[in-house]
Amino acid sequence: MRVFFKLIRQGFRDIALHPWAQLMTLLAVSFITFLAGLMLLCVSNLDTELKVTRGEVAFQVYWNEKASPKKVKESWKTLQKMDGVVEVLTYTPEEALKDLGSTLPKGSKGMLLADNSPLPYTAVLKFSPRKGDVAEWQSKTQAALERIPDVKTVRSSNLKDDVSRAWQELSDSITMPVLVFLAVILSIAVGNTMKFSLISRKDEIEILKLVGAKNWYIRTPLLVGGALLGSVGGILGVAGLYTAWWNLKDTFNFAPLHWELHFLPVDQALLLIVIPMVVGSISSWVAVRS
Amino acid sequence: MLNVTNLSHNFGSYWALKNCSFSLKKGEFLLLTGSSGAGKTTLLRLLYASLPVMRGKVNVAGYDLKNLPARQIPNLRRSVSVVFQDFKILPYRTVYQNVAMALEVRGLNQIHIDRRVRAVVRGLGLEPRINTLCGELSGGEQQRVAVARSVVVNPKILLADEPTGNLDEELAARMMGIFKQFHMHGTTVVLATHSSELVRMHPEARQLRLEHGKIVAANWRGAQIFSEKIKEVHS
Repeated sequence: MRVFFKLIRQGFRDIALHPWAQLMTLLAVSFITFLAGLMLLCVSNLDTELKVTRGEVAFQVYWNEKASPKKVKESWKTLQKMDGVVEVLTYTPEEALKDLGSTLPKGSKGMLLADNSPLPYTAVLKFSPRKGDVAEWQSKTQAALERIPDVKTVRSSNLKDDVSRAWQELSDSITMPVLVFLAVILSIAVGNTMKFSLISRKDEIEILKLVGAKNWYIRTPLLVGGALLGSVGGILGVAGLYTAWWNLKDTFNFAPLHWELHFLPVDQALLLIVIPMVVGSISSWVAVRS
Repeated sequence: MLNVTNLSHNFGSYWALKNCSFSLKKGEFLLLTGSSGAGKTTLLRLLYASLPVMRGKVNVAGYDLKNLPARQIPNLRRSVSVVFQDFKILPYRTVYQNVAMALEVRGLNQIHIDRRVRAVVRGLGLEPRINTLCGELSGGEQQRVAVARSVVVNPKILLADEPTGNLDEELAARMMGIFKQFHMHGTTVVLATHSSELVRMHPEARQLRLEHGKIVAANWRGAQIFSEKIKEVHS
């Protein structure tokens, strides 16, 4: 155990033997991690935004013209608490008329009866239902909405269009390939550095073999070096990503977008550190073996 | 301690060793002579498993090299030390670090390593230079470091490939004295050299002369006969 710890310490010290090669690898690992993280960050943010703005199902709820405004507004409060709801837009008859007017071409607004809206109280609910039988859920939700007092009509529509559906599928399947891509590129970068390190340490390895060093004795410092390069590179890459996110998080946070970028989930950020570390060790092992 | 039987080795179509046989007992001193290209280095490389034994049999310190698995080679090399003409020491490490390396790979404790290294370095007159980087040493000092690294582990067999080839006469004589000292302590020594002067100065040592990969002469009867008819020697 004492020898093992000594070899680990040697692995740390040996980094200084070829500082430029190690620095270049460190930069390569950091940049690759940063780019992979940036890609994941974009995917994650777009995914979240699409879920919010393009909930899978929307319901338009129309109340009777003679419904009590007080009762309608009480109903609106209960709508906010419904399971899976991501957005609730409510309109009084006046607001509905104004909203309708904003969609008409210029000059046609005068045709609307400004003071006497014929439109009913309306609510638009966007849901992102849990996975499962969406059709069944949809019919149950519609029935629940229709049971609300004074509700006259409930209409539902699937908002998820082909593009957002395609994106959803892409984002679901893109994370793993990005991480695999990161692993492959890292293994090439770290593996090549370890090979270079081996070439430059050929004499030392030859002498170690001549004096009876076993393979694990020769390989351990190199494995530690690979793991160290990978983990430090990963940490630097994630740190760079965090800095970039911090500076860009409010870039789209303005009306009407109000889109604040969020950072990667903790598990993905940790993977961006763990993967380079593991890949660094494995590629060093392969380089030393061959 | 060392048995070589009908050993041959080729590099492609070139036969570096042809049907060589000899044996050494514990504590014997062998001078392996011959001109450049005679096969001395090939023979030594076969003895410390740097080359695979393809034809013939070699037994070194109890290890059958023909059937030696790769994982056993480090164990063999803990019994057999080698000194090279080009020293093979690390110039960016100190004398102490170069010598201690041979003990560290065995996982010995630091107190033992320290005691052994200092004793050997003192014995070879390198104590004042113990913390000097080997790149800053003279050729003679570097060669002594290489010898120190080889003997610090108390090897059963010490192989030396032209250890005096890069040294002047005086240093070469001193180096031979050092080898003789370790031989006196019971280490079996095999020293390859093309220097006839060295051979002349040590008539008491066993001598084996190689030419074009063949043993052409030996100064002890057993070796010559051994080379020709191994069965007769055994009988």
